[in-house]
Amino acid sequence: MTKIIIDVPEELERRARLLKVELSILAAKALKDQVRKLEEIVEFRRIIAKSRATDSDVEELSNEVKDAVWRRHLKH
Amino acid sequence: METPFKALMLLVIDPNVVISAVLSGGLNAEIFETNFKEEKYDFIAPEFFNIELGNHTLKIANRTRLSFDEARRVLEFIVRQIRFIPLKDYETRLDEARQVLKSHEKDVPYLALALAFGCKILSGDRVLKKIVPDKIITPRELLDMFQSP
Repeated sequence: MTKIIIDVPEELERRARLLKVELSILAAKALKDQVRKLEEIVEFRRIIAKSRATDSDVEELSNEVKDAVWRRHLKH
Repeated sequence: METPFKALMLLVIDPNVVISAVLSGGLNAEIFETNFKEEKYDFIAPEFFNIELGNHTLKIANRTRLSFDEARRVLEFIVRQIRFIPLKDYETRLDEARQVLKSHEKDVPYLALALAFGCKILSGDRVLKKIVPDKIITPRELLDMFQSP
């Protein structure tokens, strides 16, 4: 386990004290959430980098999806 | 005093931004990556768009040559960042949007949604930008806004 020291603005410390929450627990959770988010972004990038689609695929599929969405509106 | 709740800016998402993000990455993908980290924008889209994305997942997998599971995962990453709005919440603006867009009618739902929610549309569609310039933010413009304080 690594220990880190962070600067916390007084105002934030005061608000946390009012809420009776432990800043170290909050900081650990925030770090965990951010790392998880970054991992998801890396995974998203890894997958889309493998795409072999062309610009015309993008245009064709966009139009197809838009047409399908519009047809559903016309039915209602 | 700082408020505990962030006011997010609403933006209607044009399907071309989502499809382009998944199929070719680039600027459009960067938008969803940045917003996932920073939670600055509240993206909205017609509920029917979500249904059609589901219906087109296999086609997306085929065009990208990703596996079906990979296509589903990248779509899920994006879809989680979009709030899907039922027709009843914007149907009163459909006629108005239709009058403005005339023959460009496949974009009517997105303009109607933007009119109903008083916001702009994130779109890379040049024709749409020409018809309703004040209602469109391009992916490039949005990324620049992310970088501004």
